[in-house]
Amino acid sequence: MNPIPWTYVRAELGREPLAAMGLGAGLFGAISILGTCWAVPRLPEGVLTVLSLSLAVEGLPALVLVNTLLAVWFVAYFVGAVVVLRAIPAPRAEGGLDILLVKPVPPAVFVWSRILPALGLSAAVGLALSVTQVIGLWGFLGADLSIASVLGIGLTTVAIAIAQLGALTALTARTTELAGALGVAIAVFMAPMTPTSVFIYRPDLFPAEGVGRTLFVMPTNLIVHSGVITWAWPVVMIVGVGLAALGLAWAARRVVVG
Amino acid sequence: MSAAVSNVVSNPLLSPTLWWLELGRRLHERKTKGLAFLYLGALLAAPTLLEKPPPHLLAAVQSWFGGDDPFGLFMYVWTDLAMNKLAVLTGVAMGAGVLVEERADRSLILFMTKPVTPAGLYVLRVGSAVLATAGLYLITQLIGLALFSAQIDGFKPLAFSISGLVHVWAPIFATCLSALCAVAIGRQLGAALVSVLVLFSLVGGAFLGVYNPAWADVLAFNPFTQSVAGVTHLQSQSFGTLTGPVVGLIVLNLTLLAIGARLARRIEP
Repeated sequence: MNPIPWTYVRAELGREPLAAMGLGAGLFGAISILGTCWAVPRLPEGVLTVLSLSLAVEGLPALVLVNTLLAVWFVAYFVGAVVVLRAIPAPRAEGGLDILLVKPVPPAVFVWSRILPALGLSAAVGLALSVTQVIGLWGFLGADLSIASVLGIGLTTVAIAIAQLGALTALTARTTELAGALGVAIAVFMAPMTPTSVFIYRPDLFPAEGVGRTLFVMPTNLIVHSGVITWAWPVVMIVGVGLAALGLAWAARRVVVG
Repeated sequence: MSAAVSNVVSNPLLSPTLWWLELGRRLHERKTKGLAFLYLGALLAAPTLLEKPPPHLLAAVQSWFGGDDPFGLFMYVWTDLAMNKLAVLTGVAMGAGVLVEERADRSLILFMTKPVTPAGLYVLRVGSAVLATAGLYLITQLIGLALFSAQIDGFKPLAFSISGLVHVWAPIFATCLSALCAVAIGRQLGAALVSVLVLFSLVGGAFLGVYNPAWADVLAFNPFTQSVAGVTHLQSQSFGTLTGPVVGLIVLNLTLLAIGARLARRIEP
């Protein structure tokens, strides 16, 4: 086993303007979250009732939280996805990846040092947006909804986004077209959301209340388990990072073609 | 004067052969085939999704769009859940690579040695993207017309067709906006990210004015809100309520095309 080329790793970690990307995406996410916190309570009563019945969550605080979660998830995923796509599929599409891969750097080191910034950026933006959720929901916090459960639900969503980024890395490790990789990125984002969309229109297809249903209708339904998620989110985060690591390991095996 | 006339006449953009070849290239791209697959999926999934709608949803949709049959719910789901989301995907896939993709695969330098300006090439690429987008959408609507007439109880073919002719301008808008982002930002991924963020935000608010009529006037600027006029005016689809949105969307798209063509010269091969 060759020693890890740290100079190379350091150069790779610093190649993306992570601070600017994080700030831009974070600002967009924060505005969406605070806007949602303002808008949802102002919807007519009837609309809130339908929303509540459709998503199987009760109470205004829960409804506001569910709607802001989408922004946390969306921004945390896509800001990382851009870094992932610029790491492997973009240089491959431009024909520059071969030169990178003939360097005396093991594929695993190459993949990890290029993708770790994506996961870190996603986690940092996700954490900032989870805190923004607490700020936006400040007026709703109370017995039903604590700071710890808002943060826990937010970070569980970020864990899902990180696992998705690992999957995206593996699935696009051999893509030769950037547009194709982009399509995969959107598909990976939408895949876990599809059951929720189906749930709204065909609740009869899903198991009755409980963990079984939550697994399908995540992260919307996490609020139902806010008691558990308050302490269980670190476990979910470890699982999420673990899944991402599996994705990266698989990507390292696929990235060198032939 | 005669020089000007001959310049216009010899403009390669006026050649039907060029457009035919360009459109052929578009249709053979893998992303076009992938999108066609997704549109087909929407056609097959919609009836299953609406087989047993929960009563609270049915009642809500009827209070928003009027009428007492489940057709309003069908139109809402078909337009918002299926076609609005596909509009965003189509727009980003078709538009976000205009000129920057050609630069990345180094074919732009080759095009620039031909008698076509960057603006002309932009119009050609966006034009073929718009044609392919409209083609995918309208063919889906045609298949839907036949399929849903047989599968959906109380299906209204005319209202469905008219609504589709208004809403087809939504994916066209998404394509024109993504293409504008591509030449304005100059990088395919940055442009795609901005398009995805902006388009998904707009699409999420398409029906917000229906949910809360107090906001309807403020939210009327949203092109997606205009494009669903066939659904929001389902009971009173008239020439008057639908022409405005269509004309507005055509003007908007032409404006986006013109700005993009102007910015296209900034893309260095």
